[in-house]
Amino acid sequence: MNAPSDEQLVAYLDNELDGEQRSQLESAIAEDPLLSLRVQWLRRSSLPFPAAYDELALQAPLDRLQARLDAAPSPARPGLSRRGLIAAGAAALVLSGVAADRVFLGWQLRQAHNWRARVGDYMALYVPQTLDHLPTDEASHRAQLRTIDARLGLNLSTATLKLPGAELKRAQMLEYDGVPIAQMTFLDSQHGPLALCVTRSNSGSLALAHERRHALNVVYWTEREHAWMLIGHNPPAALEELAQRLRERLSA
Amino acid sequence: MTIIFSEQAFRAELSQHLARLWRYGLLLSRNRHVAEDLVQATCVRALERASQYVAGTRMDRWLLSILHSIWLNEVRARQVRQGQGVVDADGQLAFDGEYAAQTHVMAAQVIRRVDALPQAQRETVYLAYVEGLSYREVADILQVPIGTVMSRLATARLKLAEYPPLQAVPKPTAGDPQ
Repeated sequence: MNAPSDEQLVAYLDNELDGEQRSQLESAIAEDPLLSLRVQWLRRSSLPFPAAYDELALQAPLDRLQARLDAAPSPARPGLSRRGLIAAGAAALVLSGVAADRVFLGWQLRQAHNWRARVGDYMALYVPQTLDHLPTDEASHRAQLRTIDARLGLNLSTATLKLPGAELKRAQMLEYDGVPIAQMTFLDSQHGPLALCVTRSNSGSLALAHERRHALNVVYWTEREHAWMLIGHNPPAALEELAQRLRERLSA
Repeated sequence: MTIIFSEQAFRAELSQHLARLWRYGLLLSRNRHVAEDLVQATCVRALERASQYVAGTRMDRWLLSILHSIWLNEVRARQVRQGQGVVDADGQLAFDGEYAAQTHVMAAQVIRRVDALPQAQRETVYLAYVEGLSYREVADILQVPIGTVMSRLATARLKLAEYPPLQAVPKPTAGDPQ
């Protein structure tokens, strides 16, 4: 073997040589004390790089970086037609939350009272994977709920929203035609995506009622200044039980 | 079947990488403000190109390469503005060494030694030894041949080898550039 270059020695130290090159170099180093010294010298440059830079990463101004990310505009998706999206939803593709949001936002809210129809159209596009990759820690959820509280004059908490067998995944504000609607999405371990939605209403208090939208069951009610709906694939009786539980806690 | 990666999911994953992007921006620019701007520009570009991102692949590497290309363009733009022709990126920004001082002694020594390397060696060392990328991956991000990665690492290691061993306690005579 010719005298190995520093590049080769560094590649050896970095474990970038294939098996044969490696064993050749190892025997050359074993036989040549000068080469061995050269490797030892180069090895002095193996510093605790990851530890040092992990420490540096702790100084990252995360709040500001996150705020600037949040302020970054959403990408346009000119390639996706609404019709295509609806077809995609029907075909139960792993549908993008943003695409669904856009479908949702794109629809005209013809009358305020058909908000449940719009939510139904929207929720029909959800599959369990829609809710993957969402931050599910308590702090994120609390922050999301604060946003809703501010927009709709509510006082929500993660405790109020606790449901048996279903995990809260995300709370967000949606809006169409200037009508803000909050959507709190859960993943029911048995029945898949489940959402509690709320908007402002002036219908006074109305008892629980049932309806069906697409293949989804809906239980809805109004309470003072808000109209609520719980929508999911849960059977009507089970859904009503959950709705009843939520209604009691929400009006407490 | 086409898998559409949701924007919420995309943004959520993006936000996992902010600190790592920031420190890479800091490594390149050695300036906190520029590092922050680079991260933001990277986020904007990543969102624009979200459709090119393949769900399930390593987003961190994709983001590092976006940040790198933005940095290169920024450096080129600055060179054009300043009419300096082809010069190394070093020394063109106010070097903000404060960040190294805010880490522990050992970390500060490592960061200062890496910062003292020329730009090309610095970023190669960073990607290979901090991010732990293979030579192939480093070459892809930096858009250079593998041979270039190898020679930069060898040159950088020879310089780094000349420093005295790291000191757990600061010694003014240890010879680290401040």
